[in-house]
Amino acid sequence: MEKNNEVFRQFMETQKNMFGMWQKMAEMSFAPKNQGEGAQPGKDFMDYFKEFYELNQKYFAGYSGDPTQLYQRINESQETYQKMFKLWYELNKEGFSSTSEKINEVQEEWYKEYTRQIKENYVSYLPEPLRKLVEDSAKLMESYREASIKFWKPWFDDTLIPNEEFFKGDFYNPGMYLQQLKNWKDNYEKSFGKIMDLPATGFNREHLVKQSESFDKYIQFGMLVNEVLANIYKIGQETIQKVIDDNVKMYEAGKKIENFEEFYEYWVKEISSALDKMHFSKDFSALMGQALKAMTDLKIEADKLWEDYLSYYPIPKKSDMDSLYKTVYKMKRELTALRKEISELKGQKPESGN
Amino acid sequence: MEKQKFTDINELYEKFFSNAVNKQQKMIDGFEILANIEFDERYKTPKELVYEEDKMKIYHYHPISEKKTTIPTLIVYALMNRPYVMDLQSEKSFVRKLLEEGLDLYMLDWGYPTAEDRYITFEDYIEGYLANAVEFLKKKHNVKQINIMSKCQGGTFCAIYASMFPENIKNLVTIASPFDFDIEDGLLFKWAKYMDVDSLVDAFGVVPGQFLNMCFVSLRPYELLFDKYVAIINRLDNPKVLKDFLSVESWIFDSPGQAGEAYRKYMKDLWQENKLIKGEFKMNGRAIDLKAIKMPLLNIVGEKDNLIPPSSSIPLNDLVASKDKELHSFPLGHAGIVASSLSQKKVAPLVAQWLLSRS
Repeated sequence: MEKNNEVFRQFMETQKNMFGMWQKMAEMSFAPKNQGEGAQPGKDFMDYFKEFYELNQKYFAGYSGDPTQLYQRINESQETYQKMFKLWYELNKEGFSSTSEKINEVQEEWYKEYTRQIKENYVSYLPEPLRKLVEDSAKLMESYREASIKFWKPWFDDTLIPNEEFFKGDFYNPGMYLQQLKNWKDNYEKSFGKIMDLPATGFNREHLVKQSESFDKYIQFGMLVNEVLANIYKIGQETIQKVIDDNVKMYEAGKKIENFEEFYEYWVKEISSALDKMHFSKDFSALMGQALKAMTDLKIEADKLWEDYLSYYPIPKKSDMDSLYKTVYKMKRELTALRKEISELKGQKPESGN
Repeated sequence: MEKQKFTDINELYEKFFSNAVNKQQKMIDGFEILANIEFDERYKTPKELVYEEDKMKIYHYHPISEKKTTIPTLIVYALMNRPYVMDLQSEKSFVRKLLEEGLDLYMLDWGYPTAEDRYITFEDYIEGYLANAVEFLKKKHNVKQINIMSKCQGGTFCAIYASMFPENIKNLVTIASPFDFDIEDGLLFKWAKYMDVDSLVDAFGVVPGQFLNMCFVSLRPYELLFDKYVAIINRLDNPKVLKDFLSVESWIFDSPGQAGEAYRKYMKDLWQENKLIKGEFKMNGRAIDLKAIKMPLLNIVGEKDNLIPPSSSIPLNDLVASKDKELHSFPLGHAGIVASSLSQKKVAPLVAQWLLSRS
């Protein structure tokens, strides 16, 4: 009887598609912004290696507070401050009403500035590779959606594909975004995530497994980091609304708001208190823990994948170096113990130090 | 009823433009000052390197007044920040003040761990590097005991060391140091409970300093990431203020990475399981009993410290067996307690006099 290899062929096709998707993700993640988005024909593996190497080189090259960097940071903060002033100005102009179209427009403008601040400042304190991952997570989601529709739509119910709102990439409705994120996460775990766990076959089996695992960790990380950021954005949106409402109430009650500085200080106090409350909550602490775990899981899997790529090159890998470090560490400890033993035998105190 | 305009609109226009122009002028003046400012005075009090082991270094500060004791004092700072915060600017230097008071002062500098240091253990730090530093000073000064002044994580290290080798320590000073890790008012203490430390260490080997920095700025995110840069604009034309600001700013973001294995034990046994004050903490199988600390103890806390709140530091006084023990509190934050005008005026003289009267 002739063998029916159809299922096997389909499965291999699935793996091939997965590989294509992963490549696309990798290209998007590590591609410099000025070269455009998406796949870049002609870009070979060594380019990615070079970029990866440069990222590592820049690992500790974040903000360190020198005068030039400080000036840039002040400039950025100044923009936000001016936007806040504009909001205050419009509130005054409209006679302290939070319902006018103009106020809503300025409020929206302010909120965009707030999200920019969070994206550019909060994220800039992360270690460099993580920073890039966070910045790219929205793009990744978009890429995933495209890939999902292309490859997986025939097999899944439409409800598994997230709502268009989710993929807007902005966070201007963080409450809805969080709900969408939750639905999408559930769906991913029930569908695509399961496929990632399927056993791979063929000559490249191990490599394909590593790719799938890295991809899965990347998605998990992207979801959690977006959830953390959306929570922070949500606090910003709720707080500015509260500050405006409070000011309107104060005005109507005849309590004079003296000047913009007072308004600004009131807002800083409110946002700090709201963020504090959120940070101290059990749910947010747990979410931070999950995001950190997702980030470290991703790094561990991505490192394995890179080592796999690099195994064909005549260079030592991180795991080789770690093994060497461990040997040196053990030898140093042994040397110290032997020195101590010799000194004790000689009836002297051990010589320490270099 | 037509809503009453809060202020005359022309007045607001005027205010807006005057505000913008004023700030722009400050930015221009500030740029000039920033481009030329000499702000780096850190670690400048004269000192010499007297001992070195791997990345750890011990510096001896040159005396600037007559020594009033033969017992040397070793400063032990945390692994996660640089110790020069105690010697950030000459006019506010905690170290300089201690020297002026007549102490014979040494600084232990842990250095910056690199990839090869990932296997260094918690025990290596305390029974190895710290113990060797103490032995070196005992030998150099031909004394049986030395004084220790410790800050933050350095205080936790030194309390553990002092309970293991009490015979080597004459007086112990701990400043803003964590001992009780099960507290409600510290965000880092809360978040630490949810951290997968194994995964973090396995992923990085040496845990990046930037990661720790992100945790620190998260304690007061808006003030530390945004508001302080807005606030400084109004003082951009004041070189002295800018110098102070830049000195602190540079120190804040100079966080060494953490040797993975040591970090693993530190976080899991102390921050997550609070083993030290429960009497369950072990070093190479040896149980650590803080009751073994019988030497005089001076414990100092900062009331505004949101990194290590006083609630984490204060319990030490009840956990040790010292008869001579004091607890002092100052209205200062975690850095300010060793790097501010007030700390130079109040905290440093207290430490110096307390040590000198017992040495």
